[in-house]
Amino acid sequence: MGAFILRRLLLLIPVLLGVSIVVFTMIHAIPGDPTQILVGTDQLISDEQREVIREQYGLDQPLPVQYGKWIGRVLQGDLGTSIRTRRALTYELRLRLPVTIELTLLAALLGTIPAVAVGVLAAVRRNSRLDYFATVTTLVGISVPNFLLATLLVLLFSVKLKWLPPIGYVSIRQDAVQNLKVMIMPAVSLALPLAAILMRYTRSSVLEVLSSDHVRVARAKGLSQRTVLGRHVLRNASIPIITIAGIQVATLLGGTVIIERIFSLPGIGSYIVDGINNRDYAVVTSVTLVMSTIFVLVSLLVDILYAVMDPRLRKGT
Amino acid sequence: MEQDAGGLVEGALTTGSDTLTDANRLSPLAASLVRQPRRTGIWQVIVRQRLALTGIILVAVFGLLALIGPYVAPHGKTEQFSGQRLKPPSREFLLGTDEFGRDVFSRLLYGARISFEVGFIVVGIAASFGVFFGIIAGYRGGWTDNIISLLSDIIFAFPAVLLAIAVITMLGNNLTNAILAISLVYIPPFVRIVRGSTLTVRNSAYVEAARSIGVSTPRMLTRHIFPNITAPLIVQASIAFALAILSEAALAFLGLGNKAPEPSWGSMVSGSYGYLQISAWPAIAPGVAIALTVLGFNLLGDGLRDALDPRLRNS
Repeated sequence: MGAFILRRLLLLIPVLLGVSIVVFTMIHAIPGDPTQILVGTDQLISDEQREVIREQYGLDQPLPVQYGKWIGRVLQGDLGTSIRTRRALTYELRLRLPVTIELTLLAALLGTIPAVAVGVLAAVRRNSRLDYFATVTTLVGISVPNFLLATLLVLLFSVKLKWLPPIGYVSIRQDAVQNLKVMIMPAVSLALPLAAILMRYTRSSVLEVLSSDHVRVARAKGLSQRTVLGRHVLRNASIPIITIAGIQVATLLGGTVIIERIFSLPGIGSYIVDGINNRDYAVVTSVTLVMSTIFVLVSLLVDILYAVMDPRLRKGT
Repeated sequence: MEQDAGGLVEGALTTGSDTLTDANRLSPLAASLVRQPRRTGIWQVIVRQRLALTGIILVAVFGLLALIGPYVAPHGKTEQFSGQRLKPPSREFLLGTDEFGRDVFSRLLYGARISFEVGFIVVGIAASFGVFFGIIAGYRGGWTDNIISLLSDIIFAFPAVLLAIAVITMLGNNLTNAILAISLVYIPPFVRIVRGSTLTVRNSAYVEAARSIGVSTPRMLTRHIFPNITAPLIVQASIAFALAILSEAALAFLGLGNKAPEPSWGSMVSGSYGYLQISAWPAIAPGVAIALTVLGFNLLGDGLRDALDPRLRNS
């Protein structure tokens, strides 16, 4: 297992390096004069000022040198400043990250536990009504765009029933109940595709284990259904389920961009869209960098968890 | 299961008794999941094939709309009827009107073309690059494989929407660049699938035989390897088509790619979202159109998977 984790950690280096190069390229490939982008495209600046900025940011140096300096600053937690607010992006992101993390965690919770439960039941009671319900939910879940689901939820719970507010973020510290009311629809919209895919994999994975020899032996020994499921089926089925769950939870991050936008949640997802609309490119690049780094790290954690759970890998092959 | 490309779609639909004997072949969508069903209910077979058939019908209907939509649309795509804003469906406006008094049904028909264009171009680009790099990575192995796989991993390291946003920021905000961005995002899955299939085909006897008589590498890849990896490729293409349509709609919803009065389905939903309280039709109708088209391609993909290669079922 140690070898596997080590290999996985080593692979992290080129991937993160690649991600940083892509983001760096992006900063430099943005159309227009970089000095103009740094001060904001709506600002008029003189040639002297331009020269000062050029030197200050090292824009006159060769690209590899600039990359080295940039990555050095990033590693020290300096992501640059927002042109609009003139505040450090690290500060701006720290304000918004908790919203995105709360949304993602809530969606992960809503998308995994019920999906796994239904998936297991669907496999155990194959061809039952519940099984067909699971099949249909899976199909709908992978086909309905999350913004349509969000629209339908708002239409039902905000416009018709007036139970939940369509917008108006309240932080969990201010009012936990109100926070949950605001977050529940975004979290459900975000969770559906995750739940759909996970249900499908859970069902298939449990079915596969159910038809294996050791389960037949367990049944033949006369063990109760509960013991068979708990000790023999779920334990074996859980490994692939966890892998898929991990990958899907990581992809939730991308979905937050749209969902936060719809529900006007002040997270980093809606921040990047604001960044595009305001031509505040430093915002766009820094959010891209932060989100992909989190994404890569979550995927890594999943792989490590996988190694810890799977006894075949534990032997160190 | 030896079948030519023409018989594949048909294969998904046959209810012949021969299919009933092969448990692996039948099990329907849900099914994808079952490896060794102890007993295969006939009901499952029917459901499965009905689902595949539904997929084909949905794809055909929306494909036809994309083709003829602009000619049969009752109104212009940006034609505004003042005083007819946010009206419910009527004989004149089948799906009602939007916030500018435009006919939602006509805009939906025009929008189908955008979605299908995006689907075709994205799948074309992503599949071409994916096949090229995947087949080389799988066949050559070694460093070539390592580098190509690493590049794929780097693209995979970005959440899809985010990478598309980043590319659009760099290249400029228009539909062409959105298509390029989405294509880039969907290259890695093609690379992985082609690479994996090439790896399995590479060591087969006929490839060895071809190599022993001195077949050149390009000829080997195009004549011997490629024809034998098309099955998973076709399935992936169908799924990628669905994902491309979803991605374009999501970007358009955020105001990226499609330009304002043009009727991309995603833009239609976001434009009318603020008027839900007055009329839900202009936001819901295009959303449902996206969902049905995507559902169609997903079902088609599942059906093709069953028809083409039962071993792929769990991948």
